[in-house]
This record gives sequence, C-alpha cells and structure tokens, in this order.
Amino acid sequence: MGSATRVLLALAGTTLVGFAASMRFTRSLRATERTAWALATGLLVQSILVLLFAAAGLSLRPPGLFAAGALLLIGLAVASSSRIRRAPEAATLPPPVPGAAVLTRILFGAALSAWGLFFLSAVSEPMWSTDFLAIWGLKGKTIFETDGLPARLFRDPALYWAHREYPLLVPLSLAALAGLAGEWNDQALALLFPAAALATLFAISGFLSRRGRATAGAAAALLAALCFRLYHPVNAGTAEVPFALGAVLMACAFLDLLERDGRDARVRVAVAALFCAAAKQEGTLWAALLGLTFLFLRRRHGRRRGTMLSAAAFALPPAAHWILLFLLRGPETRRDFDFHFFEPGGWAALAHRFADVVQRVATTEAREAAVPLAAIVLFLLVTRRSLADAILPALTVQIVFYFLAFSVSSFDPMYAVDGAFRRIALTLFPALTLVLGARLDGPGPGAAHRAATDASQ
Amino acid sequence: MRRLLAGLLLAVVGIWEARTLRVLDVGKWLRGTVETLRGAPPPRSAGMGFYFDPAYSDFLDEVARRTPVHATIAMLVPERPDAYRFQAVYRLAPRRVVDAERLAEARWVAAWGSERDRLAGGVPVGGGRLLAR
Repeated sequence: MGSATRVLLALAGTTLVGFAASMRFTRSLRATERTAWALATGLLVQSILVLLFAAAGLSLRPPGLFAAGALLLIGLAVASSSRIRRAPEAATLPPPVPGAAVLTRILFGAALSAWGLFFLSAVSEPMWSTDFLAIWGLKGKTIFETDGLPARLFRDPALYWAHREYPLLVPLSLAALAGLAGEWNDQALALLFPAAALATLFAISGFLSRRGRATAGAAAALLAALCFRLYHPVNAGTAEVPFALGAVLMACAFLDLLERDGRDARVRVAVAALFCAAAKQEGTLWAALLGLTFLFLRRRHGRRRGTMLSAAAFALPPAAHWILLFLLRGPETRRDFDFHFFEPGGWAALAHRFADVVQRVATTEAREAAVPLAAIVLFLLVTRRSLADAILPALTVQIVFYFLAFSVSSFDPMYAVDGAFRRIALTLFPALTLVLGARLDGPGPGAAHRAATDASQ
Repeated sequence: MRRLLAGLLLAVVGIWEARTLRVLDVGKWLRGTVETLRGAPPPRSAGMGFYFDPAYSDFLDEVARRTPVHATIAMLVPERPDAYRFQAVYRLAPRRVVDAERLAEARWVAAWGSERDRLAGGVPVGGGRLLAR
C-alpha cells in the first residue's frame, strides 16, 4: 500500500473518530456540515491522543495510535448510539425551488473542480514552503520521530526563528497522521490540507443550504474555492488552510447560537473556538471577537438566559489551550512584536507606524484587489441584510488588529506587511463568503419556513 | 433585477480570484501527481523545495544517512537564500542542526557549496564535506 493511500486511510479514520465524537452536537446539521465538523473534531481528538502518548512515553508508530483511535471510536459509538435522536430542525428544511437544483449542482461541481486544482497542487510534490520547513513541518516531524515534544522545540536558542509561541494543532495533526500511516512522508501528508479545504467548502454550503436555498450555499462554496491565493501550493503545509476551516466553523456555530441558543450550538462554539486557538494565534482573537459580538447582541436584545454559559463556550477552550501550551513551552518570547509601543511614551510612534501600515496596505494589497473589493462593497449595498451580517464587525475588527500587529512589529512593518498581510487576511475570505451567500439568498423561503417552524414549536 | 446584479457582482469577485491561477502550473501539478500515483514520484531535487540548488537535496540525504538521529550537526551553508538553512533543519530532523556560531556544540560539521572550503578535513560528500569531531 502506498504512502498516499495510508495517509488517506488515516484521514478517513480521523474523520470517523470525529464523527463519533461530534454526532451528539451536530445532529441537526446537514451531512456536508457534519463531515466538516467530523474532520475538525477528529483532528483535535488525534492531537490530544498524540499529547497523551507523548506524556506516557508511547510510540506513535503502528499499532499504538491506530489501536487507541479504534478503541476510542468504538467507545464513542457505543456511548452515543443509544442517545442520538435526529433533531427536528433537519426534518423541517424548506421545499426545493424548482429549477434551482441544476444550478446548484453546476455551482457545486465548479467548486469541486476548483478544489481539485488545490488538491493537485498540494500533492504533486513534497511540501516546500519556508513556513512548513521552518515551523510546522519541523515540529511535526520532530514530534513524530521522537515520539514526544522535545523541550528544545520550545527552548533551543538555535531554533529562535521557529516560533515557539505558535500553537500546535498542525504539527500534532501531521504527527498523528504520520503515526497512523507508519511513516513521515511529506508528500502524502500534504493530503491534510486539501482535506481541510474540502471540509471548509462543505461547511459553507451545508450551513447556507440549511438556512435557505442550496444554490446560495453552492455559490458561496464556489467563491471560497476560487480563492487560489489562499488555496495555493505554498499554503500546503502551513496553518492557513486549517485556520480558514476553523474560522468558518466558528462563524457557523456563532450564527447558530445567535439564532437559537442551545446546548448543541454551545458545544459547537466551544469545539470551534478550541480548533481556532490551536490552529493559529489569531484564532484566539477570532473566537474572542465573535464572543464579544454575541454578548453585545444579546444585551441589545435583552436576552440574558444562558448568556454566561454561551460566553464560556467562546472563552474557556482558548484559555485552556493557552494554559496547556504555557505548561509545554514555558514563558513565551514574542520576537515578532515590540509591545513597548503600547506604553505611553510609544503612542506617538505607534500612531505613525499604524498610519504607515494602513497606507502600505492601501497602496499595495488593496489597490491590487480594488476590483473585487469594490464588487463586494456594491454587493453589500444592493442586497438585503441577513443574519450572517453579524460576523461582519468581527471580520473588520480582526483586520484592524492585523494592522495593529504589523504596527508593533519588531522588524520593519513594511517588510511584514509585504510578506504576510495577504496570506493571513485571505484566511478570513471563506468566512466572508458566508455573509455573501446568505445575502444572495436573502430572507428566502428557508428563513420564512424556519420562522414558521419555530413559531409552531 | 437586484438579484441579477448581486449575482454578477459575485461573479466579478470569483473571476478576479480565478485569474490568479497560472494555467501552466496546472500541467506541472498534474504530471507530478500522476507520476507519484504511478509509484515513480519526481525526485525531490526537481521540485520547488530545491529550486535554488537541486544538488543540495542529495547532500542532505547523505548527511542524514551518515549521522545518528540524536546528533547535533553544525551546517556551514550559504546565507542566501535562507532555504539552505531551513531545508537542512527540516530534512535532518530530529537531529539538532545549528549554525556556524554554535560550532562548538556540534559533534558533526557539514559544509556545502561556497562554504565548503571553510571546513578542513572530513570526507567529501557530493559538492560538500562532512566532518565527525
């Protein structure tokens, strides 16, 4: 059996474990959404297993991790099977609009074709981007080869450039897949990234289909899949593509919770918040901003019941993740940022740098993307508001925080903007397609039908 | 009418994104994937990872073959591009790889390319040298 086949089976096994672990809180979702949640949950579970194996001094090579995953799968399936009831929400979907099915199939087929190009680009050669070699791949390979997390990954001064402060979901996932496959093959392991991209498209189309017409979901998935600057071979091996999945899942869970507070939606928020925080540093910010938006909207609408529990779902998983990472690596050294700019004496310089960063982005990245940016603004003007608009403030503030982060860069901020702004900003584009797709759909028959269903319950 | 305009605007966004795809690359990706599926993947040295110096790939393989996995290796390699350093650190992992400033911490020293002459002794390995101390 080839390396790619083994990694493919490892991914399937990871998703299966994720299905078993997530079935209780995804029961009201569509099959495509459940698949996306299954992959995300499975990657989290596998990463926790790797940490437990490392703590126990066990080998990640077969059959250890495989046996643990199989046992966990059986245990979760047995524990869940007797309690799962299909939620009524899934049975109350609106009737399909005549003629829309063909268009939906065409759009989703086009999205899959665009995804196929990312698949080809990712697996056609071993992962090669600098960030993979210096950060994500280095850590993953070291974890796999040593069956542990050597302290030098976090403390060796010779690795000062390897970003010891970065979260570990991607390295742990790569190590877990290598453990299941029985070898470190950096061409076969690249399958993780198209898998995450596909899950992102599934999450977008499933979420929008559940809330309206499937056509809007397929159109939004196509828009996301066409974002070739995100789904680019240079991002096979980095945390950008997994974080884009996390950002979409986080947004979907937030919107579900906003509309109908409940245990399942709360658990989804918690899982997505953990996934985001564990994927990238800005994932914690994304969870925090959506949590603050949730609290603000709740307060404005005068709804208080369950608010604290829901707020905890946004805050606790990233906090727990931070504590775990702190225990693993010790006090972090943030070589990228100079926080002296936040002291009163640095405010003038900070304001100057911030203006420089905004100007740089405006004259480079924004100018290059002027046509699609203008089209998006016009689209927002000519379409009606939708529930998904609730993520727009968080998206905007997240970008403003990126400006701020570049402004306090320890290095030349212009160098940082040129090298990283587009890459990190584009990870939010799939989440933005949720807003665009929801507005394309408008209130639609799905919303009307849901309102009627909710009123009758 | 509004719906049509909205659809057209999203089409503009999609087309603008799609135009960043380089069609020439698609053929290369397809060939690489097909060859890999056939069990004869293109050599690592021919890929993007070693665009700057294809022969460096075999050198790293040979250093990995000749050194124990727990070794500390000092790499004397050109400073630019920094892929020289990062490829060495990644490909030789889990070995500890250090630069010339930490030479004293290394039991092994490997030198490549323009840095090769800085290393006296050792054995020639491809276009480089490897020294056990």
